[in-house]
Amino acid sequence: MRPSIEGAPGSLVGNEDRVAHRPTDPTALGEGIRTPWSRSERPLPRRIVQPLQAFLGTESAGGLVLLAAAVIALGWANSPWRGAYETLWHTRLTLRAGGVPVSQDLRHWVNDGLMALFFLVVGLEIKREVLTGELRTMRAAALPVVAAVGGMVVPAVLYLALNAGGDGGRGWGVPMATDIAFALGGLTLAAGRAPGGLKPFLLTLAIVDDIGAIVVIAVVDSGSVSWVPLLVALALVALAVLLRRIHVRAGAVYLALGVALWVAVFESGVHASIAGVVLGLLTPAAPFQRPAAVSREAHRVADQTVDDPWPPDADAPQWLSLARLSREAVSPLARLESALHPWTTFVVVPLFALANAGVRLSADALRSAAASRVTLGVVVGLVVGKLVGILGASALAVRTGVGTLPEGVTWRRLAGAASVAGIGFTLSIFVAELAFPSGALLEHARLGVLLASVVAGGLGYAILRGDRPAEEERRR
Amino acid sequence: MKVERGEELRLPWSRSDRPIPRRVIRPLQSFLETEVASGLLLLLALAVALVWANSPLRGAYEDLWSRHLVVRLGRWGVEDDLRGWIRDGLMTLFFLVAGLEVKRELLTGELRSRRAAILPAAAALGGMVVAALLYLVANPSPPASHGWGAAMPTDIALALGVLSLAFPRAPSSLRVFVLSLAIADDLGTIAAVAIFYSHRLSAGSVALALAIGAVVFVARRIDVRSSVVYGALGTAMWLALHGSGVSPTLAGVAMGLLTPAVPFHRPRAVSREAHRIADETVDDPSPPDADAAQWLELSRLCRGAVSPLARLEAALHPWTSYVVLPVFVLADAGVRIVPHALATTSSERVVVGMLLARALGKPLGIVLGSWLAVRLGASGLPAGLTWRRVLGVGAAAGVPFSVSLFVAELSLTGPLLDAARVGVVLAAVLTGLLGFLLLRTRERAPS
Repeated sequence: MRPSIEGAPGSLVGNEDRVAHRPTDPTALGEGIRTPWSRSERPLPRRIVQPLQAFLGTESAGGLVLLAAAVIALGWANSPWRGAYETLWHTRLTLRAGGVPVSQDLRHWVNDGLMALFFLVVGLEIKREVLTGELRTMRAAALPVVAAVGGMVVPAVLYLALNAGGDGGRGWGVPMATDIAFALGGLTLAAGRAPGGLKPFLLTLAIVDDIGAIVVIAVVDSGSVSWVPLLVALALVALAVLLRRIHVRAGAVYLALGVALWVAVFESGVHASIAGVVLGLLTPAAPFQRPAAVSREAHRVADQTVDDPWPPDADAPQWLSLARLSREAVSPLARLESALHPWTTFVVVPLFALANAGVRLSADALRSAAASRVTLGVVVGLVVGKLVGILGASALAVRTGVGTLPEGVTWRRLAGAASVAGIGFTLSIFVAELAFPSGALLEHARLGVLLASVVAGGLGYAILRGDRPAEEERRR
Repeated sequence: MKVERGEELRLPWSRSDRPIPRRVIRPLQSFLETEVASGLLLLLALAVALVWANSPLRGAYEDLWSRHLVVRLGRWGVEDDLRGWIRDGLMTLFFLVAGLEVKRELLTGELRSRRAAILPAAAALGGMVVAALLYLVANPSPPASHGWGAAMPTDIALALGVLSLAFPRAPSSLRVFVLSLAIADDLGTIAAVAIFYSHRLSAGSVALALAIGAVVFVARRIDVRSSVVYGALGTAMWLALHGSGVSPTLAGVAMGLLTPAVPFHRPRAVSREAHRIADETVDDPSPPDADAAQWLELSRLCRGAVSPLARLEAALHPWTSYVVLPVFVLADAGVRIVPHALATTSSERVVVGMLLARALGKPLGIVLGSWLAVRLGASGLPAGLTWRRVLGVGAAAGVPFSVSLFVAELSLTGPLLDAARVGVVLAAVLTGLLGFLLLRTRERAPS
């Protein structure tokens, strides 16, 4: 669910012009690549479909869709139709084969099932960053890593200080998280074309933060682990590694394996989203075929096929084989990321927000939350803790010479990014659901996350907007 | 262009020269590519099912296939035993491929021209009508009479399998005849399932399914090409038909017939793009996958140069022949052969009717239909086809037992269903031998 930085491998963002359909020969009209109806000049595509597509292609789209989902959830849960909201998300979806039922309500299917896809993409992004991105070299990685650690430790400490000894103590993981879609979306909205170094910094920071969140999820949620399913899960992982070794490349095989792994992890008591992370980390980052070999094959197929074969589709095997080969010129990691990214950004995460952000804002609820140390801890942790932690750790890193500020990044901009990182939204709610199964504490935590996300976002916006140099740089 | 070592296309492990691929996987792959493979797999599944169901482990056989599988959302749900899921669910894929094959043959194959289509169509019609009539003669009264539909069908994979097993170097006219006959037969079976084996039809469900079909049509018109969309629509249509009284497998047929048979892009335009992308990409981009967008675009374009029909057929065909049909036969053919249970008069008559229909009616009907077509001057007998071979094909057409088992499941229950299964399997053995002999001996004769 993260709008990637420009030119990020596996992401088509910023690459639109490279894949534009331009007919090679302008005289051969009607012989070029055919544009589908949605990109034609008819009224409906021109007025509705194309603007929509253009919007979805922008970097802040994911954040805005997520925001819309959260607002709808809040509005719905506080409207006269709130009964329908609860009924919908409490509807049970049951799968039963023989004696083993998997039965959960829709909210948990979203949180445990669909969110595994989100975590799969997170796993892919972590792997890509570590192998080819900012996290590859110690030197470049030092600053965001240190900053992220500071941004996790300080909020957790602040939260624990406010909730020492109480029932709310279990929620220490809630203010540690950063919502990457909101954070990057907020950054883009506030700073326009954000200065070059700031976006990779925030992206890397958020990915390190994700690693932290995964650890937190594993720790918070490891109530009672049953070993047999866990061993089955490990065996499945070993099987996946083996299949990779013998070059099994069929997506169907890994899909089946992934579903089985999900079920095993689900049954083991460890949070099922971990299955997604593990699969993401296992995905190969190198293409199977050398691009040069595929290029040769592409020339050959292009020369040997004819325009109007008889029987029709006589060339189908050649075209399909070239289609497979050109996919294999791309690493499975990039392929999976570009296939899943739109789904997690525009479907999975908004659905999560729709299912989980519907907090009731009655006077009673607000009054009890205002007095709650959980709410206070979450708000202070996310708003103050993130800002202080990230800024402090960065300052420490720069002072001691461990890291250097990226080009174009001033302390003020860093403060803006740190503030925006306090939008914990998705992951914070996710951790809150694990820490507090239900009841008042969960409501308090959710309210805290909502409030903190709004405040942190507003603060970051104010800091970045007021940054004149950023404006000037944008105009240049 | 000189290609250096390590720069050619990389072979996966399964095609390398290591011991396991060389001794096990590659021979297996080349066997699976032959035409007899899927037929032999079906026979294997049949044998396993029969032995298993009559062994001391038969309890496990029944337990496995009658295990319940439930998908339930709130108040709505689909619940059936495993056998039902295979019959209504997996077999939908088989009928999807059947729909694709029918469409392809009608548009570009032998059935395209009316003149060429008459002979196989008449043969198929004769085979179906005579087989059903003979069955009805033996079983004139309900409920046994409902099984007439199970006496008719042929399926393509097995019919072609029998032909290539018995007559490996069959002239292409013979192969085309068998293929078109089996396709026409498919159409007949589909019609029978749709028209005669629908009970207590729920008009609302059927209307919903039709509406979904209309949505598919509109989506095609506005160039929606995402397979996810059509997968979802097909599933919705299947759900609408499930429990409507019509076999939900018809959703597969409908989706197959709705699949476009022309490619979206002109091959020439894709060729040009392929040259361009091949030139513009580099071998070792930095960062890695910097060219990913271009390669994925080329992959999409290449798929766009192939019609969705051919693409879907290529993707699904291995699954239906090597997984769906064998699993169906494994789940469905395991009839307990208990002599005293089959000794009731009604059961006996079903077995006899099935034998008569498939071992006698099918070959005779096919010869009769063809003879009438030729006699009435509507068609000639293509070169390479003799009456003996037509009879051999007729016998081979009596072998395929999988679709017969499918229709039997729809039309009969209890001991009568078991009797029908026994009849279908016995008839398959008889006609298999007959067809093998008829087609085999001709091979030695000079042609």
